Amino acid sequence: MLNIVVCIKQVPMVTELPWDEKSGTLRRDLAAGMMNPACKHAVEAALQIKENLGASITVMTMGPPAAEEVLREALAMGADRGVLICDRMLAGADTYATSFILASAIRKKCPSFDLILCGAYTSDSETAQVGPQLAEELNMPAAAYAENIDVNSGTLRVRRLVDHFRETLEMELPALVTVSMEKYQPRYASFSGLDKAFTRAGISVLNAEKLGISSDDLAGQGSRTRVRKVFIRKAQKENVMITGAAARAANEFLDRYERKIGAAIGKSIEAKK
Amino acid sequence: MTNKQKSIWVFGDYRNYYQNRVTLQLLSRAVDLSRGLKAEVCAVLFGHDIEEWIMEYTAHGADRVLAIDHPSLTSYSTENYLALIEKLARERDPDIILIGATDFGREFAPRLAKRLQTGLSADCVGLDVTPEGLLVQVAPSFGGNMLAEIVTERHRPQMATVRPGTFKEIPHNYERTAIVERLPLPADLPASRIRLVEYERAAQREHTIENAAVIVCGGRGMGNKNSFKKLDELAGLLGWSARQENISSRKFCFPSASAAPFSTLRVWGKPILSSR
Repeated sequence: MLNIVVCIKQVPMVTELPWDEKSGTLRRDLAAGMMNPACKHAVEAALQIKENLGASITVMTMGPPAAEEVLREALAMGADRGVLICDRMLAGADTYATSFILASAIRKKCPSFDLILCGAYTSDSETAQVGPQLAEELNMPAAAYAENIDVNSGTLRVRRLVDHFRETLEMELPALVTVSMEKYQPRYASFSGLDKAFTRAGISVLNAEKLGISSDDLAGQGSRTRVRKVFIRKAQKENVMITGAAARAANEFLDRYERKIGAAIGKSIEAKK
Repeated sequence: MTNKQKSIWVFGDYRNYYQNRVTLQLLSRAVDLSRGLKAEVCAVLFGHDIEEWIMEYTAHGADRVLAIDHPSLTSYSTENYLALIEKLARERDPDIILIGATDFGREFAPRLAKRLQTGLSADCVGLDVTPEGLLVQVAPSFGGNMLAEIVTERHRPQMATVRPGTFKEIPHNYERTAIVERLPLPADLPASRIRLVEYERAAQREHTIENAAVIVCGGRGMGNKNSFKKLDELAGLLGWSARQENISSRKFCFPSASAAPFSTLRVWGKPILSSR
């Protein structure tokens, strides 16, 4: 039976977010959370492997206490157990520190893993870096942006589309794969799954001390990057609103842009006014 | 700090046209940044039969090209390329490494940063240097609504991946010369743990967002499905054959959602482009 770890993340549900101006980080406590969409696809991929081959699925997340919600959701979908890494000293960790902490937790809670799945990227910070860096921490082969994952007697086969190339890769387990959102449409949690998620399936909580993480590797010292400043993006292009009756608006639009559009498409669009 | 020549490295990503373009764009920005840093611009290039790229990167601003040309490097390999660039970076200690935020770059760069135990910012839309020589990396956050200025203060090299189209390449100048170092494939290159079983160039779409002259899009304000026919018609009049492109069922796919300059909104089951 395969031992699968799925690393997931709770992300804010909204796009207008409360920022802590001083630290330049998000006040995650003030935003409603959801499971990052690509992570949900990774959970689904794990569940399909479990259905085909049999597997034990551990879902793991690092975040504030509320991040337990996404673990419960994954358990309700069919994962077997959850691990929450939760410590104020880990808040604000960059991908370098995060991947180190996740690797420590995996070594502690699931040392005999065969396969690690992550979402290809998160909807909040969108770096797509934690998966590849986690593979590096655990010294494993990895493939990003997987559309399809097949496991066959210890060999992993991944299909993916990268930079307009369709690739099929093979590697031996243990390995790490980040899952794209092309396939593996996540299932809904069933009622019995929900029941199980809140009654039987267990979530263990780890803090930095339990993980044996030294102060050098906590968010502050362990991070390699620092956010100096966060600011609202200035509109890079001028927005032009044309209002009024359709015919008049169209005429005005053409008056202003006829030439520009004509030049761009290489033919005249002389208006029939 | 020592007096050694500072160096800004640009990873030569060339597998397809748009990857190569981002390499040229990075060379251009590296040339700008090198003035403030008094650094050299160095293109790092792996592959087989790569003379074309050596010439092109020289013509586009590289002062030095580190090239490893070997038949075993014919196809892109994250693991092989990682081992090669890690070794070079440890030997030569570059100040900055810039990598295009292509799919390849976004998988390659994080692993390299981890190996070199340094910071990396993702998908930057701006790069500058402070008077002290610190690379300021401007990266989008939260779906592009926010921008963050990120710095790597205590570790070197400073690394960033950069979104294609962020910088303008400088016009080529084939009169330029660069120091080209043709390096041998290291004998101790570890075997890649990943086998590339097969690969093929995916059918290339004729029209991509990156090279579109005009983008026609509609959103919720269109009101109903029928209104979109007018957009199809408009697109057709603007030279885009709706019938050939099957516009109404066409979904815009991006290398990854995060690399997309626009987001796709599905309204009434129809793909609509909307500026975010």
